[in-house]
Amino acid sequence: MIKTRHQIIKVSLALMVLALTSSAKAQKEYAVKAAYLCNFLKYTKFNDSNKKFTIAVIGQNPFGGHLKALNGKKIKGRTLKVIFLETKIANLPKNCHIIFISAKEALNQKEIIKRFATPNTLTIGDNKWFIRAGGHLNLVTRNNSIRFEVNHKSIIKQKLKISSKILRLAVNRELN
Amino acid sequence: MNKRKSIKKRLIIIITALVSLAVFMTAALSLNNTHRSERKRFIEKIHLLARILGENATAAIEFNNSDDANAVLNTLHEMHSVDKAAFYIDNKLFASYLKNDSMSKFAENHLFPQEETIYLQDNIQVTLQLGIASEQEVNIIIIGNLTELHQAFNENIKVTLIITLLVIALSFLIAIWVQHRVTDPISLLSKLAIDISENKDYTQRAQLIENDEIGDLTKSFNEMLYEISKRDLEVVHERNLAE
Repeated sequence: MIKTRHQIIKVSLALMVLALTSSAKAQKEYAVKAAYLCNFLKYTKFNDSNKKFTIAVIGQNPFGGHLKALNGKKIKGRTLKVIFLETKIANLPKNCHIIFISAKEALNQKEIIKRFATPNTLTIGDNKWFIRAGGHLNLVTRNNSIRFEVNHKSIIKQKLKISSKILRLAVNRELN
Repeated sequence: MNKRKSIKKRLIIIITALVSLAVFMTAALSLNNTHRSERKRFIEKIHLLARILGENATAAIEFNNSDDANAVLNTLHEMHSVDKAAFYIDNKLFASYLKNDSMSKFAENHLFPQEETIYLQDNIQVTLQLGIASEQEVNIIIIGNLTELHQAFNENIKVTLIITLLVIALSFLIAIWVQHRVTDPISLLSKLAIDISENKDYTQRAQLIENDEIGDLTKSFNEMLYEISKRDLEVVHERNLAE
């Protein structure tokens, strides 16, 4: 009986350590992804005279406090504004420069992407269906590093001006 | 007794020496200036290259993609004058390029000054700080090979030396020609004077070659001969009358 209890405690502890480790890993991953969102702003040319760059996170915020911490940061002379939105498509603002669609919104992402199909909005996600749904950049993990896939077709279609320096870094270089 | 020195020889020596000195000085100055400007241009080229590479690798650095930064540096394969190059982020090696695998690798950690140009024996090391990301200190280090520059300099020396020797030979020929033009009338005059002094024949006349200072001298000499011969004739005539 005591032996069984010990085993349960050991398993519980192991599970706790595992959960903490994976949570820390996920936090680190999203810290990098948050920095990537800012970098994407640097390498995309937006045709608007807005003094702010707006990054909108749609759905559950996977970034923890990492993206919020970047609020107010100066990028190319503009102030960064980070907003977190619900998924009610009708309520979504139109003047966002980057829309990050949470993986939990994978089912709605096609509709959200359609709404933001303008030359001034970059849609970014991190799920394997994102590119197929028409999103522009999909963050993926390759060899323990965060990389991204590019949807060349939709970028060309929407006349988004993304620097070739970024496109060169994509894990998929050919037109899909 | 002073050793007799010919004007001919002196003229040739003076003209050739002056021309040689001038040509040597000009050639040395020109070579020095060329080498300096070539070296300056090479350093400027390395600096420009560093900035272009930095610019091309900005996204790779910001997205922490060392493979792409390596690919950017590998474009240096086409530049034979670059031996090594590397990007360091916060003094840690991020990407590097070596022209040959046999070359010594870059250290993993390196503390850099902001900007530096170091001359090594056959190499030049240029370090620049790239203003890419405000959060990170990005340095590029390029080691250029000066061998091509030195080879070009040696070639320049050879060509300049050949040209200098040709110019000196030409100046020697010109000196001989000038000497003939200047000293021939004087020599003729001198020979005639010696001949007259030995034979006492004052009826001879010097040939007028050029209408210049020597020509004036020849005219005066001929007038003097005329006066002497006239006086001789008068003396002979007076003597005949007396007899």
